[in-house]
Amino acid sequence: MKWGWLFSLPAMLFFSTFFLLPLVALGIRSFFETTGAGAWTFSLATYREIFTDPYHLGLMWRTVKLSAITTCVSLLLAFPVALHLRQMSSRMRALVTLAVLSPLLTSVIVRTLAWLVLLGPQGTINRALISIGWQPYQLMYNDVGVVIGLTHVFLGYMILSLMATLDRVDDNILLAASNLGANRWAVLWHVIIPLSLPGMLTGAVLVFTMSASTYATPVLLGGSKAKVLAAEIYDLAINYLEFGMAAGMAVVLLLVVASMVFCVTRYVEGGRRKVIFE
Amino acid sequence: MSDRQSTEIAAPTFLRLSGLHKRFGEAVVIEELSIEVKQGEFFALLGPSGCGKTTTLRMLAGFIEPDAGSIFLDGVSIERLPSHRREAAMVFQNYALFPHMTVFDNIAFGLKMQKRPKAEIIERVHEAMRLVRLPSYDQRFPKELSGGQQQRVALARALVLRPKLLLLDEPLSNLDANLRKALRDEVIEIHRITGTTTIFVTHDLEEALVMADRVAVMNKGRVEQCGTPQDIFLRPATAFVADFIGHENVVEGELFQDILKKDALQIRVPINRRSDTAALARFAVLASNIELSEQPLDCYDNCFVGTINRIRFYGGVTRVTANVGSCQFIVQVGSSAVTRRFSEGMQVYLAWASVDMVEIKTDAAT
Amino acid sequence: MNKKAYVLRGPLLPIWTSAVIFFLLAPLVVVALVSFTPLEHLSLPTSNFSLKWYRRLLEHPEFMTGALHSIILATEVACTAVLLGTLAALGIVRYRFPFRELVRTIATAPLIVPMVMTGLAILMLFSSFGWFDQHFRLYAGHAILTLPYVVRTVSASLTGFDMNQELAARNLGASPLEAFVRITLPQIAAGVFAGGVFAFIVSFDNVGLSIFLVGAQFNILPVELFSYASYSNDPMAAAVSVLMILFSMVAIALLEYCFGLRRLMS
Repeated sequence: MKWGWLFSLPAMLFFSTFFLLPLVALGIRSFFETTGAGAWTFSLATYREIFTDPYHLGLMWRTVKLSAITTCVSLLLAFPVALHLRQMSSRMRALVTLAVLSPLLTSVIVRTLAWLVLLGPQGTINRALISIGWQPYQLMYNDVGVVIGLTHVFLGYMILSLMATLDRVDDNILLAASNLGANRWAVLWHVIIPLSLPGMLTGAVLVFTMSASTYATPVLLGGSKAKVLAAEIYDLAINYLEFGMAAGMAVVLLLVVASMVFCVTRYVEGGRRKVIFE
Repeated sequence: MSDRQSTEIAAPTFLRLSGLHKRFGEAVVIEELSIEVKQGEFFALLGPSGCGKTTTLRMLAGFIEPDAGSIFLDGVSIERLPSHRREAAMVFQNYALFPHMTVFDNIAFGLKMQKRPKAEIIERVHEAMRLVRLPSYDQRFPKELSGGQQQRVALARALVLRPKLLLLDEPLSNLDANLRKALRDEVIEIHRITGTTTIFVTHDLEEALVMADRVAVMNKGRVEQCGTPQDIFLRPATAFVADFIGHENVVEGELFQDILKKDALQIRVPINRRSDTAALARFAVLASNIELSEQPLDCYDNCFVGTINRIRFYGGVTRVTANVGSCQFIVQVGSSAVTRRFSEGMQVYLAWASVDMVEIKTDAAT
Repeated sequence: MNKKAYVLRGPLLPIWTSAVIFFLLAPLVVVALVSFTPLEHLSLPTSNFSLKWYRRLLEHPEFMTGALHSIILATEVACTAVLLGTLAALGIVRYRFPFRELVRTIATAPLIVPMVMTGLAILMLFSSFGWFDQHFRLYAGHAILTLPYVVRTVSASLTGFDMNQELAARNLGASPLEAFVRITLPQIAAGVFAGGVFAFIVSFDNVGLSIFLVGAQFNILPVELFSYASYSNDPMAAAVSVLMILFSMVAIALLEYCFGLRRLMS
């Protein structure tokens, strides 16, 4: 039994030093304020400001809002694809999976850059619109651009997650439903969706978490007009050297993300569900 | 298909499969399949794995489209109809119950698809549950039920729709031996009550013989023989069927008139199987049709002397292996008589009636 | 697994899938095209394809050094992650010990904790101790970030592996170590290697954590690209992107050829 400890030890030591310790220090730092002359006092001023200042509240709201929209759009786009993948021949399936996976293996900056090219005021899409006589749209430096970019970056993860879930639905159950009189849509609504709900939630939580925490995409596509928590944290720390505030915002971001994960994990793995599903 | 002793219900053909063909890639799975089933019949598709019986069932259910041929159910051509528009309800081998729905919702599903009024659904579901002898497990989930109970739910789910055709895909093979026998009787009883035309797929010979009104023995996508259980068992039409039944005590020899000669043995075969020209033939006799005695028995037209090789006790029956000339015969008797009178190495007389012999066709004679 | 659910036929699904794949891949194609434009601003090359932006790359040594640093860093990180992660996975999957779930949670926590938070935390701690070595702190941050991937792939390999094989080997005379090395290790090698490749890729591509930890002495390619794209609007960024995509494609081809991609991702 000691082997378990022994094998985990190197990783745990590394993590304690470079992960746990820094995070705890950061957490503690958020509860302190410098009062000139290098002195520190315990204070909740940071959090008070974060939760009362409309600017910061707006940031939090926008971060959650954009992540939620991205999650919903991704889910909508990914579900039919995962459904289709389920019934493909193995060759097609390998091909499509590769097509879905490849973007995930390129850098997020590369993928975001593509949208810079496409969405800008002088970008490809607007030029095309102008050339056929339409009005150019404001597709960048706003919520729309950020959602498009985030969806593109994280859609692959949603598809993979849903694929794993839908694969586990027993074919015979679908055939049975059909045999008992359910047409395509009835099978989808009464059987496929209920059975894949836990997996959908898991995928949704994954994408939501990643969207809320990501930096490069919202910064490049949203600029200062559509700022998110991650961007603000960077600004505060690197540009304004306001480490206390930055730490506080980071803690808030963690809470938002962690509570989502916790709730969904509890629901998906919770008691009654274990009776019904495997 | 030669003489058929039918005890079936005299009814017109209800289900007709004609010239069905199906290939998956290079392999031809179903070839020139034609079967006629009467209304209310309990019809078995019997054969080894890979013979196409499950594919045929799935074609009836509407999951597979035949490449050629037609299926007529109650006068309607259904082979191009999607599954949800046929009235052929299927019970799957692994039950395929909806894990996220209660027992009640599972059984009610088909009725819900038909948009029946709620009161009717409740009544019919309970009626179906009574029929399959499922105690009031309405609110339980499939995962909480035993294999046998899940089986009943699957049956109820199909029967509640009062389908024109009931399709059973090896429904008893996932159950242990005792449960299988019990459920077998219940299925027969349910069939008697509802009178639903039933197609039943199995690889188990005994099951088919016990349960079916008529059996189609399949091999490599074709029907080898179609007839009552007695036809199949006592008058196997092809070598395959005979081998599948697994007759014991097969003697191969030269048949002339009504005598089958094998070395020193001269065995009398049924008169209507005699041959006027000398020919190679095989005949078998059931182990339970042979009588053992210390004295020769004149009442039987076949009586030979032999030596007991081995005696094996099987509980209710005992099987005795005896050497008669160059042949070996297995005799099956009720246990008490044998254990008292016979012993290994003893000389005995084996006797049986010629009419009890079964002709086993060889490939050339099919 | 080749499933044929006869229920969901029709043209709707294929059309949708094609549209989604188009959405996923078209932007990358656009980037590639833009990198070949002969003009001075972001545009698609209409007639002439020019390599001038690739040539101009050579005048920007920061991208070269960035690339070099990224490769070195990714290699160091992958090795560390593989070593620590494989050991940890072995401990977690095969042995029961108190706080086992806690260890598992900690090892996979970086997937949930926002990258920017981890980056900030490391920056703050290191700075307060006066460690300003950028290379090292990036290494630490990336190792933290990538270890969960290794733990996941190796755990998957281990749980799919029938322990009875190792027991059989021991029963036939092999020592526990021998049995592990000769029987278990070769069979989980796929998981270990896959974890290593993921670690490399994640490190190579990372921006969110790295921006906190880079500096003048040690910068990495994705951050250089990010900075460049932030203040200038020209196709050079596209050229760098294309080269990065090519690099990723080589990695993907390697994975697919050796192990089959889908098996690794599950």
